[in-house]
Amino acid sequence: MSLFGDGLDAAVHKAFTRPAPKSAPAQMRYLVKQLKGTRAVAQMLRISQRTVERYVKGQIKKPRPDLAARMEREVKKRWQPQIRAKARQKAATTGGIVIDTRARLGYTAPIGSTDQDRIRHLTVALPPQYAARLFEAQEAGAGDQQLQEIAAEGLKETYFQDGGRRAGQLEEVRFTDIEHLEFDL
Amino acid sequence: MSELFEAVDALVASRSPLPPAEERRRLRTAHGLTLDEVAAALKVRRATVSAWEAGKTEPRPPEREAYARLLKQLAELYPAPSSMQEQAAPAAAPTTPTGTAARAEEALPADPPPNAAAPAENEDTQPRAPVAVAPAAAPRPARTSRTSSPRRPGARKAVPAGGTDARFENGSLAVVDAEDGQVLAYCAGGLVLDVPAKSLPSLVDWTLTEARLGQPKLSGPGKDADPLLVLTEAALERYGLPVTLTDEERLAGRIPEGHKVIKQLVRADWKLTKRGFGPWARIYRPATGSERACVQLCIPSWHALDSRHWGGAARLPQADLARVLGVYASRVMTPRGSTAVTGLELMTALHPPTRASEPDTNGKRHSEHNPGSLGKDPVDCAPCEAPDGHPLLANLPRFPVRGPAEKLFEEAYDWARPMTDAECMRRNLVGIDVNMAFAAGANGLVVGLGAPTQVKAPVFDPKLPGSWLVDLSHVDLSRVQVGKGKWAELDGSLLPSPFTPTGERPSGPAWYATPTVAYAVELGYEVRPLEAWVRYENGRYLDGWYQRLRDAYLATMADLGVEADLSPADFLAAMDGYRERDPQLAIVVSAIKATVKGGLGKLRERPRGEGWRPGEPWRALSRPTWRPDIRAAVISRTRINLHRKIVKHAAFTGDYPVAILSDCVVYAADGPSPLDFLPYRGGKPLPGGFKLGVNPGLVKHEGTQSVLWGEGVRERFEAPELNLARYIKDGTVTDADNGE
Repeated sequence: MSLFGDGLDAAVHKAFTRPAPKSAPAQMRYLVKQLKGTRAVAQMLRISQRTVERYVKGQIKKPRPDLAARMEREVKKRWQPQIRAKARQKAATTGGIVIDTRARLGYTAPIGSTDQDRIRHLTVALPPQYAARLFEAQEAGAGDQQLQEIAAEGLKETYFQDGGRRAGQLEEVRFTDIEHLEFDL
Repeated sequence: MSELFEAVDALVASRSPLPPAEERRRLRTAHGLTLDEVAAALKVRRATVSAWEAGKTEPRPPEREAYARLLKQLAELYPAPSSMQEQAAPAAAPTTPTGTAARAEEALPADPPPNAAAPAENEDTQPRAPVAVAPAAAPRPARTSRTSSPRRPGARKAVPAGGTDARFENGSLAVVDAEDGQVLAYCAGGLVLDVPAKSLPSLVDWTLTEARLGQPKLSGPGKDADPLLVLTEAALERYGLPVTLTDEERLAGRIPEGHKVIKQLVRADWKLTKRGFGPWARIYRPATGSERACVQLCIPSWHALDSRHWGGAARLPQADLARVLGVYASRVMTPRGSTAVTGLELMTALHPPTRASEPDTNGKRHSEHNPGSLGKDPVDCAPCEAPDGHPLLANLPRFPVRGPAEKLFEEAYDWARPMTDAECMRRNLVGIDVNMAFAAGANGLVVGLGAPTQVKAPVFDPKLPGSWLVDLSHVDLSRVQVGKGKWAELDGSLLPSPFTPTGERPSGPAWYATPTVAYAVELGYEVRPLEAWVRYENGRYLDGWYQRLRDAYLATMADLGVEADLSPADFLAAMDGYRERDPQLAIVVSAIKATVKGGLGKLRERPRGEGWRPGEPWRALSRPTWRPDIRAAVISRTRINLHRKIVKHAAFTGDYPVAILSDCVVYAADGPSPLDFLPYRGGKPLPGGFKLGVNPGLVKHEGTQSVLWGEGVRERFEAPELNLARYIKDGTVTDADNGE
């Protein structure tokens, strides 16, 4: 779905202090408790209210893969909100965010030089202001494109220009053909 | 009666004399016949003819008579040269001894049999054969079958093939290809071997026992290079390997553990390194004593040969690929992976970490530290040399990033300045580029070998490698010492500072590598370091590395028609379009350059994936060759060497550079050629200044653009300090901000 959004979520989820419920019935019970009723859960997951009840009672234990993914997503979205907020806060103020990506990165010119765009595997710690911008944009409902631009800008500053100690260039960093992307706080 | 006559005829035919096995093949190839054609004519299977030629089997009647007739006719058309005749004499009994006699002849540097030299299928490789290490490899018949011949008797060793190691007489590598069921190995010298192996384990066995591939060690305590097999797509298919990797496999850099071929290897007791079966797989059995059993694979269709460094090598025909890799292997070393990995391995091969000690009282030798090497255990660098995220800095906050007083920042130049009015009046901007600048910077450089020692308020010693915290902001380029007691007045505002990669004058104490600080002293300024991390155990670790790469570069450039002793004008003419003269050797040149650059880059390899988080160690840190201090020293020396030339040039001519990018310097000049602004007097360059030539450290012409172009692009992009050196080569400036 959303490469960057999910990546940022996954990074924040690593901060959980207690494991989120894993089995389908436990997840369903948690959702019913959170949304205060089976009707809301049923609507959210696009299943019937009766099915929700069956999960809650443990009469169904193994959901189909797409429903399992939806349930896990909804649970993780609500699990330990304080911890998630704190992790985001910390990243945005002091910790920064580590981006690990394998993608076509670099400038368009000149051909053959070190900075030319090519498939690179980078693991770079981005400064807090980029973490803040990424999380803000994500909360504001920004699309992948926008998040990608912010990440590219961060990589340009920290990796390609080494904190501004290498002379600047005209171009923006190209950040395309993403093969792998992972965030870490 | 006729029945009896027929019987007698048949009896005679059954013993028809045939030339020896090798001669049969020579005659067939000389006439441009393929195995298939002969097989079809005699109504036998192709493998049968192949076996006759290999001496594995003898033809039996009724084919024997026809085959004898064919060979007799061919022998009249293509009489054997004298050397062949001798061996043909005892041919009546084509049993084992003939094989050895024939091959002893072959190894002699005698004239090649004229017909054998250019068989139809190998036309490309033969004329260029002299590039191979072993000159004796060229005159061999194109396709000999050694696979079935008996082990070489002791006497054969007395005749080394052109001075190369008899164990490795077929060169260091082979390109393995499959053609309609038959597997062939194209060696570097143009030789083609038949490969009897039907599976990958047996191919590995064959390579180690019969192929005679490999490369002798580069230094006394080192190891012989393992044979390299390059597998073409057809060969991959033949041995049951995927022709291309799926996306998943490509990202993992290996095929899955459960693959059929890996299981075959495991069953045959072969092991793979931790890297698994990827584009540069290594297949081995643990060494017994000094006996190594390891084969390196290279799979171009799995992207083993990066097109940035190897150009289109992966798409070359087998024999040409064998030539490109063979030249590289003989001049640099057998590729061990990407060019960067090979560059790093070359350092280790020239200075292995351990050696055998003198025999002790029991006459037993032990492994001991090899002096001059980096040792077998990694040492920690100084905190100032560590890149961000290094475990040494785990106790520091991750942000803000360290400034120049906390972090050594030795990088190549990226500097430009606005042009002066006088320069705008000139016509051209001429870029010159230092050949193999970083290799030249490594030449004769003393680098630390062991762990660093911290010293407070030390006295600066230019011979002591390390990092120094020192304030160089007082060095004023307006007045510098250019010789013993000779001071020059320069316009400091037009020169980049030699101490920072951006060319900005430092504003306070900062960390520098030894060559940078030594240059401040050389310019006639006093330095008072506040602190230093120095290495008392030091040596010229990169000398051998530099020399091997320089020789490789010069030899290849000479093959491309750029000799080392050309006059400046001839050199410029020779450099013009040298790549087109032999595109294959041009690939080798580019690979040699990438070896230099990549090898130095690997000295400070940064973390890549594997769940690394700042403050944790990453994989490269466990190598003794992870040495950011050596990289910093080389880059520092390269930058200083360049600055020294710029200062000498400015002091003599009054010209200042407009832009510098790494090893490329741009000057404003009246003419389009470097000779229009480089001061040559009677063919002699300015001592200590820029000199045109192919040697590392000398300069070549990078490109020329007009001053108008330079002003134009700076105006168009509203960037008065746009680094023109970046675009001087072809003049195209790209900008991603155009909204597309």
